[in-house]
Amino acid sequence: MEEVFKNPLFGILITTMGFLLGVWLQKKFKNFQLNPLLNPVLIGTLFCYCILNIFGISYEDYSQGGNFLASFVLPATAVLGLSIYRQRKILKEQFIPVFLGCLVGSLVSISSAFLLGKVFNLNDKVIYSILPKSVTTAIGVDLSAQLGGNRSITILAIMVCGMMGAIFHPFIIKFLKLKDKVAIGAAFGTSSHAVGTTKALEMGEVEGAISGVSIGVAGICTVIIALFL
Amino acid sequence: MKIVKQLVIILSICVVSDGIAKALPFSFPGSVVALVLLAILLVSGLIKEKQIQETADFLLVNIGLVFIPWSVGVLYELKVLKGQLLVFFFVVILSLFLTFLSTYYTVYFVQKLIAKRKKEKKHGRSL
Repeated sequence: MEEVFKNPLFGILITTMGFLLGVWLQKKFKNFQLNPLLNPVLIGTLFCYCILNIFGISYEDYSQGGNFLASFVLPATAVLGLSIYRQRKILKEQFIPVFLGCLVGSLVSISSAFLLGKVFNLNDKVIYSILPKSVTTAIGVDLSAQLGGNRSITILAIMVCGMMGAIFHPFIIKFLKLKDKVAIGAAFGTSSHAVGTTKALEMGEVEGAISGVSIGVAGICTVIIALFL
Repeated sequence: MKIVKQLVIILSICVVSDGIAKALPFSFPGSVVALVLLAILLVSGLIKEKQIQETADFLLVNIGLVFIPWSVGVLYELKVLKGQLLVFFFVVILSLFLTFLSTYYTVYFVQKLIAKRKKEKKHGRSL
């Protein structure tokens, strides 16, 4: 039996199954308030973790297939270039506000994480790991390595930002009566990357499009800011 | 065959970008080089959208799938955060809201400023 678990296809299979389960749950409970918690990445992760523990499979064995899938993180991030290209018209019209918004947002994200981390006594390794918390995972992981952070903490922080943003940003919008669609889109993409964009898409086409573009723009801004750290 | 061709184009851009990122004198993520390079190739017309469309859309829609293996690894390493987990959540979430609001108000006020300037310009001309 162990031979089967060591086969890379096994890791790929349970990952795909977990992801599919998450997608299905999210569709099934579309109107559920905490729906972003049914995020396919989170559900898929918990599914794989349960399977590994139930069958006593080691993480190393799972990684045979897991690493294969993870190597597609780079192409999956590169194609964000296509989504920027597709929105070039709206981006051209709103370039200055969206770019400045992403830049200021990224600056606030990094500096507030740093200052709050210091104030609340997080250790330095954790602080460096959470600096790139608002960007998309591939970029965040690269930056974390560059800054001397821990990859796992960075991924956890990125997931928290995505899911908590998708859950709570709509409340902030309602509470503060925020109306500007372009600004809402930019704020979603800059603070909560792809997971937030899913929510922005539900709010409207403009919000979704700008949010999608902002993932890439905020990623580039964050990388440039990190050059000076 | 179409998918294979599209995969060749996308993977080539990734490998080249990775090479460029490693050759740069400062550290810069290959993923960002690839994203920017692809956008430039599309804008310049060297690559047409339909030459990568299906494969790119598959990757865009299912981007979450490729993050799961890393995310599973996180659960095995949660102990690095021992004793700091609550503060970690608090700091990350507070900083997240600050990011959201600062982005919103920056875009909002810059738009207003631009609109005001345009109005003034128009007004100036009519005088």
